[in-house]
Amino acid sequence: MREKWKTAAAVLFWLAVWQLAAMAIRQQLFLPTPASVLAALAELVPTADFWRRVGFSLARIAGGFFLAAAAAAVLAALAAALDTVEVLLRPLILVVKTTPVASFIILALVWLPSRNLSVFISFLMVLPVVYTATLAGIRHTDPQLLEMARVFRLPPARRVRAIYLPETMPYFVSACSTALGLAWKSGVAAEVIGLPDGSIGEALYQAKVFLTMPELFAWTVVIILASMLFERAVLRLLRWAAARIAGTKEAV
Amino acid sequence: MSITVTGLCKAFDAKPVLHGFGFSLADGETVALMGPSGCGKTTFLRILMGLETPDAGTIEGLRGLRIAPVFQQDRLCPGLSALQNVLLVAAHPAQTAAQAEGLLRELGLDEDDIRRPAAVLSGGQRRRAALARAVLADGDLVLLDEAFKGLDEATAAQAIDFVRRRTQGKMVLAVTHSAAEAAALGARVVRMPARPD
Repeated sequence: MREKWKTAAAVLFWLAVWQLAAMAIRQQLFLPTPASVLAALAELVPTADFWRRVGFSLARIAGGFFLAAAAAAVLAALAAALDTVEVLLRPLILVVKTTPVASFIILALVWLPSRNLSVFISFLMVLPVVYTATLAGIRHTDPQLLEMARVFRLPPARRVRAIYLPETMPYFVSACSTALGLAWKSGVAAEVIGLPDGSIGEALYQAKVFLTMPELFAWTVVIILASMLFERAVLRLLRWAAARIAGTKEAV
Repeated sequence: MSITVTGLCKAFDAKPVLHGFGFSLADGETVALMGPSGCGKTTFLRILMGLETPDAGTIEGLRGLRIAPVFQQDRLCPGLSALQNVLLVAAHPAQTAAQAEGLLRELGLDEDDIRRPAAVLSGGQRRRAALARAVLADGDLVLLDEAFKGLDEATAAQAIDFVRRRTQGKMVLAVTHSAAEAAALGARVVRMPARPD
């Protein structure tokens, strides 16, 4: 609780800094005040268009994230089991990891309709992060437990549920926590470049074009909040799953 | 059913651990393997478990045997309860739950201990859960690697009695440093020579 108050105080501090800076600059075009951003937000939130945009972007970014997390888990399991898969994936993951997101967005615009661009881009940003961490998790599985499983001839399903999953879940959850933020950042970046109709990215771009800075800031606040809430919901779900796996009655 | 080991050799980084070791275990027999620390007792058990490959020598009678070990470390899944750990090795966990619970109670674990995650159990409780697991696994060959180490006198006596009753008719090979433990198990003692220089 104490920590929450400290965080709230820090947020208030930076809001005050923002307010003072805006008052010093006195140009809404460069830096709108927190109050004007709040007013823009209050205007946006009750409209149907706002919720449609949030729904549009959320569905696609979440879709990209979940697809990538699932693919990363499967690929990591395959790579841990088969050396050839790991070797084959190595350059691919390295390329995805190091290529600037803007390059992928522009390339993907050639291949895909802009409506689904953010699904693909979020997928690409999340995949290497979750894959690398999950593979590391599998490889750090306690060798003593694996020997025990081998000597007792545990069936593969029991090995996975009782040994691999509990040992790998912390790595997977931690990687997902990092990747959730990445999914939002890259997904919205893709929308700003691809400008799919009815997306948050498009609204952000329009606010910039028409120089409606309070609106631009308001949409940015929306992205931050949506990203935070989504991250919390997903992490809660994953932690619940991890706790169930760690001590589940069905583990056997 | 019997096991005969002849001329077993194993070296790690060119340092010999086992050198021409010979050994036999008759059907239903309990043998206590004794010898100075580092003489290769655990290495020998690991070879029997298929976790190490010998450099030379033969082992007859091991093929197809189900092995039920108690490792020097308990090797329980930390997130699973004592009962879940024991049931992990059961062929049909649902049908064996009552039996597994009975084994744990026989070893002195109470209702709470049985259902607590292995990670929060005491060392002695984990040891006894590992013993119950080896018994429930219903192996043909039970391997005990210092399985009673760390238990207080009374609990060790209870655990030894448990093993003696529950492994009757099976081949049991127990690594121990205690002659009293070997005697309590009713075991024939085999002494391993010190590691060759």
